[in-house]
Amino acid sequence: MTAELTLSWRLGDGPTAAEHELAAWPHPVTREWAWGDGRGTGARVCILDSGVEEGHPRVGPVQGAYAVREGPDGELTVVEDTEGDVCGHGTACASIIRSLAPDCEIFSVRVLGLGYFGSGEALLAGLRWALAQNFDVINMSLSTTKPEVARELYHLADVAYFRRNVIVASAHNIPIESFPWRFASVISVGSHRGSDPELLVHNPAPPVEFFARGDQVPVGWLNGGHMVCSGNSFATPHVSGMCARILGAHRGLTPYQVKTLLHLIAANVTEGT
Amino acid sequence: MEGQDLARLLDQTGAGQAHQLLLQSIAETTRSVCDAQACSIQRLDTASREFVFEAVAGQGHPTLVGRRYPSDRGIAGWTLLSRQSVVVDDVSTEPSFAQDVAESTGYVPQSIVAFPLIKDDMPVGVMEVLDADLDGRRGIRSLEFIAPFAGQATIAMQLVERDRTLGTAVAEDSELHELLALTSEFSTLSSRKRETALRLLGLVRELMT
Repeated sequence: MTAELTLSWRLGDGPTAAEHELAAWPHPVTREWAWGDGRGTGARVCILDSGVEEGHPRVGPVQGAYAVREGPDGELTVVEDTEGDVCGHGTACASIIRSLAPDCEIFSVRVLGLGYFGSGEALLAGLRWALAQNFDVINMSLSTTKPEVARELYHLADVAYFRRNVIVASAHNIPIESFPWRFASVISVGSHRGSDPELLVHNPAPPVEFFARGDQVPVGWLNGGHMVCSGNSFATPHVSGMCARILGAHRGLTPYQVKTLLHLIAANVTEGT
Repeated sequence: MEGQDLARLLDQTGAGQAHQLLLQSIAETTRSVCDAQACSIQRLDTASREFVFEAVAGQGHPTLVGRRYPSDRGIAGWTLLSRQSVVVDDVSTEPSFAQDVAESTGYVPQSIVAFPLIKDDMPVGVMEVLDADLDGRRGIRSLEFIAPFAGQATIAMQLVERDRTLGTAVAEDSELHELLALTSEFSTLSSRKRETALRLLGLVRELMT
């Protein structure tokens, strides 16, 4: 399967997912309805990062572990991986997602580790592969500043949007122009200063669209260990976990619908009179 | 401008030292205003895939300057690869990580703030602040407070890198080295001798065209 789109140009072409269309949402939409039982059962979440430590007490089973590797001719391919996590960050993200959606399926694609000058291409290769696997949620607690990578990333983010693969991406803490979080097709995440892992805040002045817990977050780290970390990298998997809850409870929603639900359940969005 | 001043300006070694001092000054200032135990600015050596300590203030100064370690390790490696800044608020819960930091810095902190230094889309290094005490500002708030210093470090690091590249080019190119020496000596001449030298240079230029 490729990461390209099969477009329906006319209604007669028939969008195959029409059967999953949700006819009506309750009014008002509540977190309880949006999240269902809050376990994320059946949702497939992919973490593009440094790898994930399989069997970590805060992560549990990893349904699939892969890594971007450079072949002898310089071509990048995604292969099964047994190395786990090379620095701990991917495990930290996985532990946060697992804490919010304990029954979701977690997949890891290591895109970091090929060095600094192949990192953009590795990111693209990993994302292309992830799109081909049709994951429900793709967590990207990373970004690139390379314009030539950003162009292709923009295209892939659009592909994900139309294929119903939700990309959740970290915004920068400091004013650096980077991607993919700046694209409207993804869900961009920054940090609020609260300690509630379920507290979501909508930003009426994007490009950062949502704020989640990214301050002094207890996370899993290497060798079964744990640490307390801060940064938008750790706010992002909170939103990925929320997306897994939503998609576990309501299969087949589009990224547009998931984003709308996140907006409706945000703490600072209240019902009008 | 006096001839000696011009000569000093043209002296790449002098410029390099000034920029290195600027980098050290940024590390000192950051450590001081953050009331931190240490601040380091590390350059990414892309050829050897290593981080090199360029400036260190507080713990580890001055023995760490020049020390190298693999660039794919620890929080510094991750922050630059992912291009995301990060705070590790409590290192003590993770012995292997603490040991990793200790090996590279000689000091085991409780907290680390790490910033990627990126200029014109190129990764140039990492800035780390260890055990900052910012009147209760922790986590995200410490990131926001320290971020402008990381911006300064990025610019200074770029100047140091430019000096180094230029210095290497001059050292390896004998013609360039000779031209730079001539320019430097010219700037120290008296005004009368300088006029004569300029006339001679004018003749050389005519011969070249």
